[in-house]
Amino acid sequence: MGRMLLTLAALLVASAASAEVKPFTADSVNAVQQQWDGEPYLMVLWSIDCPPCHKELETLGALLKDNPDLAVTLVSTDQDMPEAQVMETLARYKIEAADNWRFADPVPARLRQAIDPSWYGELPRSYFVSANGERKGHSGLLSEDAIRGWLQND
Amino acid sequence: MEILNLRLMRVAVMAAAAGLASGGVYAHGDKHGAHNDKNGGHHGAAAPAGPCADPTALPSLNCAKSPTPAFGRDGRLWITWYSRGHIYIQHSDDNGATFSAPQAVNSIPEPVDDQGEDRPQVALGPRNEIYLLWTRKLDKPYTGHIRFSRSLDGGRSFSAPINVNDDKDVIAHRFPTFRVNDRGEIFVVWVDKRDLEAAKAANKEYAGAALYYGVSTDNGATFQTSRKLSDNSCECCRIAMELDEQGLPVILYRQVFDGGVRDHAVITFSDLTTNSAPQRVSDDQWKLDGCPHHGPALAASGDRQHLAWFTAGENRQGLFYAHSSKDGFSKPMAFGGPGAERPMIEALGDRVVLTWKAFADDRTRTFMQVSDNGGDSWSAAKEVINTEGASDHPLLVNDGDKIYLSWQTAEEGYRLTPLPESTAEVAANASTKDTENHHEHKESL
Repeated sequence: MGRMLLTLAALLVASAASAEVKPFTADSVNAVQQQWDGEPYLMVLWSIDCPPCHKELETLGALLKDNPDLAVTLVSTDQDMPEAQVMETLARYKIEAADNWRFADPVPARLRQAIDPSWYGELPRSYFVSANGERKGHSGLLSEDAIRGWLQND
Repeated sequence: MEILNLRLMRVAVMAAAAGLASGGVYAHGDKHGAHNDKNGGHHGAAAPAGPCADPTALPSLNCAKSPTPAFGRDGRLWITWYSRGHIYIQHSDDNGATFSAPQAVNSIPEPVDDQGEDRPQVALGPRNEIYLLWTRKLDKPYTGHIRFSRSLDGGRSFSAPINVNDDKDVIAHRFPTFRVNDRGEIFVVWVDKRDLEAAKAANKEYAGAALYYGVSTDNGATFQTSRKLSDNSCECCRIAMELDEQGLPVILYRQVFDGGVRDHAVITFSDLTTNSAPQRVSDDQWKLDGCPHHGPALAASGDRQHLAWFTAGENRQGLFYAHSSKDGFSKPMAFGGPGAERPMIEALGDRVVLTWKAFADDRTRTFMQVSDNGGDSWSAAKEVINTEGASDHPLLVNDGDKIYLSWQTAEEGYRLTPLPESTAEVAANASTKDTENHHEHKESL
């Protein structure tokens, strides 16, 4: 219930700002954590130039449609692509109203280190973050079942 | 990573942090910018600033994203890079201290893949023919054609680019690399999705892409029909190619093995058009339904092949080195430690050099390890140079005598750094450096 309210609030904020994509810096890891305020959430890192990421975004788009309370943060690593392309991709999968961020540091390794020193940039990369902040990393495409399973367990 | 845009962004962030309406002149050697980046600033509000961001400025090597060098057999260094629709080339006769004026290769502009894993490249023929190779981006995402241009007059003029891939389909032909042997035969290898597209059309499963190959025996006037070397290669990793003692290709690449395991394989040749089956060279068990964007590196010297690669597999994680031997391949040796990425390797006789980069203590640092016995034993890892801002993959290049680190950084521009020639030289250099930078060294490794 808490999550639903929070997500609702997040969605309202997101739509009010008309599909904002926030700059993801080294401090944003904590900002994302604080934003979900102790609720479990899923953080997904993706890129336009990663074919499996598109499949994952499509899955997430469908899930968000069916489960508008899905606590998910999306982070695009496409800081070298025009912002319009990122927005276009988000719109294509109908996830522009989700909690969207985009890498914003000249040294992406700094962000990778802040997120997870054992992540080397392979995509898609996801983190299931539990209510107490425990993170479980996953490289590669997430199945819909994996996401649903995580939702049910939490 | 796009150095140009990143630099632009960084300047904008600095400008925002300083409360300026628009960025001032980009200052080389600024020591505070990257730290300030962490404090935010408005993303995407990049105001034009600095010589590299000025759309009317002349194209410059120091503003290029992924400049790639090669030495000719006459010792002249050539370097190629991309800017705003054009492939450029320059040469240097003083090992990169000064360069000739940039010359545009293609007269008609075309969009080009220009990033660490898929970058314009130059190779020199036995009579110093200049050959250039790049991926032209097509209208659909992840599609491209392999493009080739040559100069037979020392770089005064370049041929109109031709496609190396023999099909015209708007699909992925990407991540090319090439070599020219002493007979002047040109070998090109690339990632090709024609088999994936065919499988899709037939409603069949097909993992990854395929490896295709083209050869030219007429100094690059034409390429023979594209030949498939392997199905199910990784679709987003650079390929490494070197020449064996017969001047035939040795290819190291990431293959998608059964179950979606992305480990490495080697393909060798017995003549221009006869290749071995892929031989698996690592059992890392990296099962990944995703993009590593992290291809391997290869060097060949005598009858030995030297391999370096990255994996995040079940059996191994990090950077690894192995060499071929009569009994197959040596046991993988870990190097680089946590955070190490982008391995490169170069060999000259029994001298072998490994490099990589790693982000540590708020700077991106390049490191090396040297062997003077064909990779049987190695020096300790030593830092070479570092940078505060954005950087390209560090590359290795040799002039037949020395091995150099070639590195593009947003802060310092292009740098070619000669590397030590022996483990003794590394050790001698290390003892002085250790006293000066003991903390840095310890922390970094």
